[in-house]
Amino acid sequence: MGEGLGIELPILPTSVIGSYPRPKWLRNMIRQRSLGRVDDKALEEAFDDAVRVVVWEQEKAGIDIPSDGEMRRDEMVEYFAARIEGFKFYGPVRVWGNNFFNKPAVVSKLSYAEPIVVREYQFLRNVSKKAVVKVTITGPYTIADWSFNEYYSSKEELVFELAKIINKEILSLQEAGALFVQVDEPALTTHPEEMEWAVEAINEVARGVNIKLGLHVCYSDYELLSKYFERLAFSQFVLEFANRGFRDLHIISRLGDKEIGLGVIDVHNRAIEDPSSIAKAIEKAAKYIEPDKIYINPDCGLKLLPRDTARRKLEVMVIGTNMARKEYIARGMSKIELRR
Amino acid sequence: MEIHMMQHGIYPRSRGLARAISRYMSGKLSRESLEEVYTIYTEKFFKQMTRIGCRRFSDGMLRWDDIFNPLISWIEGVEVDGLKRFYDNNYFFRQPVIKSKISYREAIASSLLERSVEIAKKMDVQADRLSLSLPGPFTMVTNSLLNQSEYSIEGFLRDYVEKVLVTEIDRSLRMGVTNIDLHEPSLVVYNISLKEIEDIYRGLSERFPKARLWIITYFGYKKETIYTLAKLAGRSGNIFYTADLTEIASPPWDQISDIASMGGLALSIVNTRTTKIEDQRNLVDKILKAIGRRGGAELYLTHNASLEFLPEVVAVKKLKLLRRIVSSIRKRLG
Repeated sequence: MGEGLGIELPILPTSVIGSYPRPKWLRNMIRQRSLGRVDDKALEEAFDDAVRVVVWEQEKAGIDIPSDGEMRRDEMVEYFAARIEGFKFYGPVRVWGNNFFNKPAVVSKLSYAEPIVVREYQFLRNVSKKAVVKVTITGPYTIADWSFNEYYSSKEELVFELAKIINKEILSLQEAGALFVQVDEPALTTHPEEMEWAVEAINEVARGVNIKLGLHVCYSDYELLSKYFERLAFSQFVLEFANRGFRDLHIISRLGDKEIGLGVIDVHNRAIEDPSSIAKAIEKAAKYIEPDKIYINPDCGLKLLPRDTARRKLEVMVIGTNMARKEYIARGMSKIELRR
Repeated sequence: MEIHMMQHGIYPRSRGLARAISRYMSGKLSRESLEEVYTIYTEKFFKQMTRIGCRRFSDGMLRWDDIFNPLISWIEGVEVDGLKRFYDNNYFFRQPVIKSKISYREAIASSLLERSVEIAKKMDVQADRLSLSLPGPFTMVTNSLLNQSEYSIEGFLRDYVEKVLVTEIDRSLRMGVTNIDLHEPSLVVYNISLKEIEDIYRGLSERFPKARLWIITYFGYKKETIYTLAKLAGRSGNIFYTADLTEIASPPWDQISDIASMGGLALSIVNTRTTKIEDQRNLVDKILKAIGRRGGAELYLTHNASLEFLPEVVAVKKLKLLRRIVSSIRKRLG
């Protein structure tokens, strides 16, 4: 396990994946901005206020490591592509059901113009009362996989170019004081034949980084991913299990000395989970991995849920976690240390 | 040889329609108002297809979330589960979970198509230019979660054909829609027994001699599978198939030369998974070289997977490219 960072967390620390539903008034403000009825300054103020509110909601629900809810981001790839030079947007494409995203196209050489999420981190750090906050960054493989490539001669070349850019961003976050960065790579196992070089490319983002790095991979082939646990330069794997009815949970026994961010909340289902089922899922996970290596989180970002549902899901997640914690507290395991 | 252009599958859902569906789902729009919006966008789609010069096309599948939904929620014995990735795309569908022996009463796909047929008739678009879109049997089976202690894979495959496809095709033919598109990416993505493919499709072909059964393959090219489909097409006269030439580094033009003469072939030459626009001249030369100047049979040119993988503006550009390719080949063939 990585070196301690000198910060204590409760056993089974609770966190989020990143996104949280935008308040209705913020969505309205974004619409007003698109119609030219308010200026950038007013919208920025609304984003700041929204972060204050959603961080408060997460903390009130009992979340130990909150995020800023990605209030400023419309979509995880689009947000980064819009801030890296060389991308173009032609229009939305469907991801599932009635959900769409502006799929970017790489039309010229990519370059890192300026820090992308450092100000987001700084604002979150000022707003949160918690010792650790989570910053999320979309990984190079997923940005490439979810983009159209009109410029680079191969996808591999594009991913390595993006990895250099994301590495610069993580180093900027480290310099700004961030302790926990989660790289989101939901596309990682999509093309098994690309895994070998994809893992090398993703590891490039960790070059020179000395803070905690998590890797979030969801709706993916975990059997395949588990073959690369050791090689991937991340100390925590943040995975989705509730959506798949906790099938595949056995793969976490292959994590070695790395941690699991255990997904216990199905974010594509509006039904609120039963806290005891969450506690049971944690108990089941603890059969495969030591409890001090388990973090608890929803499967994925909460942004597509109604806000009230998202908040209630976080509340029950914490209640369920507290039920599971009792046993460990009784055994004198009440705290863990945040590790690199 | 007659050269035609065709469209199949799901057309990109326009922002206006997506917004109306969201408003309907959150109770802010009535069913009647949503139907009006569907009518507007279906008309727009038909206008687009006829203006571009498509010989045959789907109804855009504007009411579908993916090639399985809503169909699977109308099959008894099937539960609609969590999201599953559609092959290797950043595109997900709700997965069918086969809980028990299936039964099927209402032909939902053709019932939805019937509304489009009515719209088409008002626009003087004949029903025989439209197609009914369905998940092909092998694609349905390979994308379902099956409790095999209750149901064998073969059992489910046969029941899906007998109960769902037969019901749908039967109703579609009664509406005058003879083009039946069976989406079958699994045929070229996975290793599926050629004998089984032959058995299933020969059975459907014999049962529905008046139908034009289109086996739509994409996301790959498997030489043996495509050859099997070509033989089936050649023998049956009512089986057609698409061969996806866009996803392989060196398309097997030699084989295309052989199978084109057997009939029933639609070449997928435009890739819906990239915004890069294909080289028109290169494609025209390659196709002409492959098909030569053989007369008699018809050849269709199309895109590989559904156009909805592209932003609408690029989808239109690619359809226009197809039109230019078709017209250039026609000119050169004289």
